[in-house]
Amino acid sequence: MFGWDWMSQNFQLVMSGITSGCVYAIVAIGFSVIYNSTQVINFAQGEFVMIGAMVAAVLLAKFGLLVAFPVAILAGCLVGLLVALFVLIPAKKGSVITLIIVTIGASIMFKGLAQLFWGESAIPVPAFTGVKTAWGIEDRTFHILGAVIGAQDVWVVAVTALLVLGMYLFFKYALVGKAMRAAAMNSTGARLVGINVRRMIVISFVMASALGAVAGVTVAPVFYAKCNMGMALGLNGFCAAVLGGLGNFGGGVVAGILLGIVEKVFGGIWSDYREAISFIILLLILFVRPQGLIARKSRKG
Amino acid sequence: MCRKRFLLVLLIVAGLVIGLGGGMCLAAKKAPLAPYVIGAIFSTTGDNAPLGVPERETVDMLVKQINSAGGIKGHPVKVLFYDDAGKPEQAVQACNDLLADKSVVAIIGPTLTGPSLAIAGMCEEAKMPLISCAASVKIVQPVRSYVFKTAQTDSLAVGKLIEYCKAKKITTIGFINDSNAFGASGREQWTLLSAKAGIKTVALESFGTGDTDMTGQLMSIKAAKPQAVICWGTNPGPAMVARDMRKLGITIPLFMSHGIANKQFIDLAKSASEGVVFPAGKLLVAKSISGAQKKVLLKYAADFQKSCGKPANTFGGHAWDAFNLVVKAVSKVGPDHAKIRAAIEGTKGFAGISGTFNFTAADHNGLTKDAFATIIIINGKWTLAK
Repeated sequence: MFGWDWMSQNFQLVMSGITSGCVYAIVAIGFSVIYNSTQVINFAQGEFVMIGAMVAAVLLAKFGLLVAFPVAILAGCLVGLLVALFVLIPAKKGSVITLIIVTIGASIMFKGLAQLFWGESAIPVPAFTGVKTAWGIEDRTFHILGAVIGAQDVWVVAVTALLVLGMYLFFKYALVGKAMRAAAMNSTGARLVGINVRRMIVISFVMASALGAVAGVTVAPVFYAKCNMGMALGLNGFCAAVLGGLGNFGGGVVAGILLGIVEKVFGGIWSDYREAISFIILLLILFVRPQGLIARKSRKG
Repeated sequence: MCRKRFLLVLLIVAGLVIGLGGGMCLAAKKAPLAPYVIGAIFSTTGDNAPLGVPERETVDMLVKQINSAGGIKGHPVKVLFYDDAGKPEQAVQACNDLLADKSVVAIIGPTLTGPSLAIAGMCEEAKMPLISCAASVKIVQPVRSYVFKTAQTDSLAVGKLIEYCKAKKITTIGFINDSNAFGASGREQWTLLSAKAGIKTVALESFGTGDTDMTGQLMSIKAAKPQAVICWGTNPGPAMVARDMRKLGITIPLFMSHGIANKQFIDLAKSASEGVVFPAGKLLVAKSISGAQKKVLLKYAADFQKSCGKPANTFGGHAWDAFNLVVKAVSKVGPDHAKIRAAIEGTKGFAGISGTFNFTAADHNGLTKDAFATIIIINGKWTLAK
């Protein structure tokens, strides 16, 4: 039973789980970036991925990667800026729960607008490094240890790794990154040393949405671009963020990838209940370890 | 001077009289008869908008056609559109609105099974003719006297596929379905009818509408070693099943449902769509069929392409059938609900888009499995399967 077949089968599931896990991880980071600076859970996070995927659907086939990526980042920044300036800051006087509901409203709005612009059906998106066939551009596949992996899956993992590394360096070394961390830890203190907390909030939204958009471009060839794709990604990313400890980037990444793998392995065993699995895990973890799988290092200070 | 002014006044008065009189004369000639109002509930937003949108576009087009040809015996046709977003509670709201409006002669739609079932009882009680465009057999079984449907029942599609399996001597199947109402109902019918036909289902899996990868499910199906895979769902899930089967190197035949009866499936699955077999309404292969339906199908396909700039699909066809059944009944018996109901039930040999309808008191769908053709995708084109 635990022979070569069993090994390669599970390896296959793990590999395909990592692809969706990477997206959950990036969405989880987005949740944490915004949570850290505002204490708000931004439920429009999944829609940022959708916007990236739509940009890819429109641009990738015609203009290629070098245009699609910058435009997606720009579109993401713009959308994040709009949400921060016109939705979040005007409503800032309300309680955190009001703001969370406002983000749900924003997410419904983005979904509706996307349906208006791009229609209601899934749109095929060409793989980054695909092969041209009579049907359009199709993904290449590799065989590793009995598992089949698409070239696009490799792209997803690579882009996620780059983003995570970039975020790490930004928060560790960049002045703005440090200021954002300071504003997150103690907003009054940060204000006292001259950090513009409001600006940090805007920057955090812009960053989170740009991150989501980049993830969207990268996974669009695998997931297809669909106006209602953001909801499921957002919820799974939220699970990952909570599992990893809200506000903890490393935790979110690990939890996201784990969640993706568990989902796939479980899908192979008992597919009828596969959609519930991330939420069952979430509930269990919240009962046992409310601070998340990977507890944040002391922020009591 | 004075005379001139008098003449001017006379001229103006004369002009007014003639103008008014002429106007009144015109008005009398063209006095619009009260419009016949049809209610329409479609899922034009939400997950199932790809079904609901062409239904609405079809009805929009038909209304324009019928009104520019003088309406029904001089009465213009007016359609009140409602969007239920695929949700039963919104369909109930829309239905309440339509039932309160005394001018509504009949309701067409909803697009989906859930909303249709939610309002079927309401329409029955209010004695309002309802022609649903949804798939499930439960809408018309048990029979409600005022409730009809035009979409082919899913058991007919399952029956057609079983016929094909038998012809190809396939006795073991791995079944995977969408967890939405369409997929779940297909699975129910498959389980029921395949057992009777002696076909064994060796693996039974499902996927969610938000799923992005089918590896897990397909690995378990592969492990059960069936002779073929059947996937019952609506896009994009089935495209992912086809794509991931190809990716994982699973080469057994892949059969699907009428849920993929649109170009989108081929666009999404690309080369993996090659060789996929599915039962679907004859619209897709209109050119290669014979019989009464051929002319109707070709005209609808051409009209829709012209008016909407995209190819017609079978979902829009369900609305075409529902709308025309109502129009036919109203032009025969006028706007009386009970008479419209009886006229629809009495419809025989009506060649529509979804099939040739023969309604009876016991059958309010009026179709047989011959409403379907078995289609195979070859080189990205729909072809009649042998």
